[in-house]
Amino acid sequence: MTEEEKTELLLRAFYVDQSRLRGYIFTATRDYHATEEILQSTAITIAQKSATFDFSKEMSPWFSGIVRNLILRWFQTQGKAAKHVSLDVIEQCVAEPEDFESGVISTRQIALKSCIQKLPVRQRKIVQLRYVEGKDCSGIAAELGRSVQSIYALLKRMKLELRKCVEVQLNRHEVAS
Amino acid sequence: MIAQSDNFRHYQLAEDYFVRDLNEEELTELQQALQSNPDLRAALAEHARNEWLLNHLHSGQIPDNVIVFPAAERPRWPLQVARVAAILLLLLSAAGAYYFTTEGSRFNPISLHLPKTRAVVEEIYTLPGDVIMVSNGTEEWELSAYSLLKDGETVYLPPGARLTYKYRSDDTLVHVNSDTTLTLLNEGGAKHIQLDKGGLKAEVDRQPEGKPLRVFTADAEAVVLGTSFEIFADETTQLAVLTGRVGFQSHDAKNQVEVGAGFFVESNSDGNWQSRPFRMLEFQPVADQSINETQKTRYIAVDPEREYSGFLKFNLDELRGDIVDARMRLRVEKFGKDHGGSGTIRLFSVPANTDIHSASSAMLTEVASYTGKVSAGMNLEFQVDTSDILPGINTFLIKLDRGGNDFWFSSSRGKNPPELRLKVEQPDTL
Repeated sequence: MTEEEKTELLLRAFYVDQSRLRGYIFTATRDYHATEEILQSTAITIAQKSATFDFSKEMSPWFSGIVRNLILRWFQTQGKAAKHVSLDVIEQCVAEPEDFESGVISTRQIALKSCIQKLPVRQRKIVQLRYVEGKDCSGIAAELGRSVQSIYALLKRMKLELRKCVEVQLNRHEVAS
Repeated sequence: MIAQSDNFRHYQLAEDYFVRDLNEEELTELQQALQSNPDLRAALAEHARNEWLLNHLHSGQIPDNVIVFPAAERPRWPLQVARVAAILLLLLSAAGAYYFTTEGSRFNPISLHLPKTRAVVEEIYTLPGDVIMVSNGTEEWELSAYSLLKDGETVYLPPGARLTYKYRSDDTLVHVNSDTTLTLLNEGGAKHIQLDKGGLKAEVDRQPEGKPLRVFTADAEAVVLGTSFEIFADETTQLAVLTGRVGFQSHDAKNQVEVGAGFFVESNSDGNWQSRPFRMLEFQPVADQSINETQKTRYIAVDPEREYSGFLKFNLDELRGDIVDARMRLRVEKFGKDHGGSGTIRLFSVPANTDIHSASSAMLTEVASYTGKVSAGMNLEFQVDTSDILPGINTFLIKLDRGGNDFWFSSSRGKNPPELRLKVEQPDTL
């Protein structure tokens, strides 16, 4: 097998495994953009190191190893203490790869979008601040003149409502189809 | 009892993990619980998925050169029930309006300054689970069948949605395209539309003297007294007039052109805004079938797992004149339990002489792509770069990226054949 063929084979396998790896990275970092960056760096590292990969072994654990190193490096560059659950445990948690599929607009995603639009204005403002403007809870608290604790509570309540709404819509969709 | 409350606390921690930074003790506790409790691991994964989706939803975009829209169909019975309900609602609204303009206004003069209802929603369509939102600057709400629209309200149509509304003062109808944002305005009784993005087709009734309907985009405006036309706004504004005449000008009025029926104009920065005659040409394929799937001839199947892809050949021998707009329309059909497709679907042009046997090794040039989900019964329309279309035979392949869920399009032997729709500049000789 030529170098190019090896690289292509590995990148194809990476593409198939991408959703699981995305879930793994996101659960560790809880940062959407960092997740995409790390995923991109993973693809680059795979391409760079394809010559060293032993093709008699499984590819998935190798990808996970690369991802693990990149996550740890990301925490270092952020100057953050790595406040995440052990990466071994996280790897066990993320079992449903299609959950983190970015190239497909899933029924769940459509339902979630619709549910967000049904939220009360105040909760939609919080969605805007957190997920569009990327503010953390203390930033949102400062913006809205509320305590950080109350923002935690509001966020959790909002997420619970969204979860219920999405489930109702998905059940309705299943019945309809 | 203690175990139960601990268990509850662990699920709370799994949720909190995506809301705030847990302290060392909490992290250790959560981690130990995760190691021994598979249900808790599933719950953590679910919270992760939901949090990621919330982030992902606010970052994705659908490419501009693809439109998804529902096929025109007769209203079905739920819509007819809605129609009756809406008539009742309108009667009630009219009664309410009468009250406010007679009794109500005596007690509440402010009501006289409320924005007047300008239009009524005639038809509305969205993808399952999606909604069309309306905003008046302070509040937002979901648009529904037979909603009323007022001056100053902005309507947001998501990709895949479609809306038709009718002005109450006359029979002017506006068909709004998918992925469009527009605002209804009123200037001294004249109908104004601010088109921020997307497109619309309007059938404009005769307007009062001195009060033409105007459509404003970022760089131009169309002035209409009574006609039908299509207008699209992206980096430039494109206007095609179907009947009547439309004035088309830049906001500073330096560029002005009057566009008659069968003429097309595009705003551009060089200031040379000339209308050009066009005609609509619609072509159906002279050959179309699935590659690697020969049994289901009424369909064009596209499935990466089974290596199915679509093959389409159009004969454009009769084509004369420059193409100003080209769109390929494919109808997504229901097949067995399959109610639509999803993933990234790509349209490629291949050398004209490519046949079904040589298609898999032909040189591909991607001309358009779409990522998303499309339900059965919808049309998927690719806007094709006009330079990719030539007189004579034009051959295309349709492929779905790996990981996508198969699409079944109607073939020319099915009920809704593929169409290549061209707006073509009329040559001087014709």
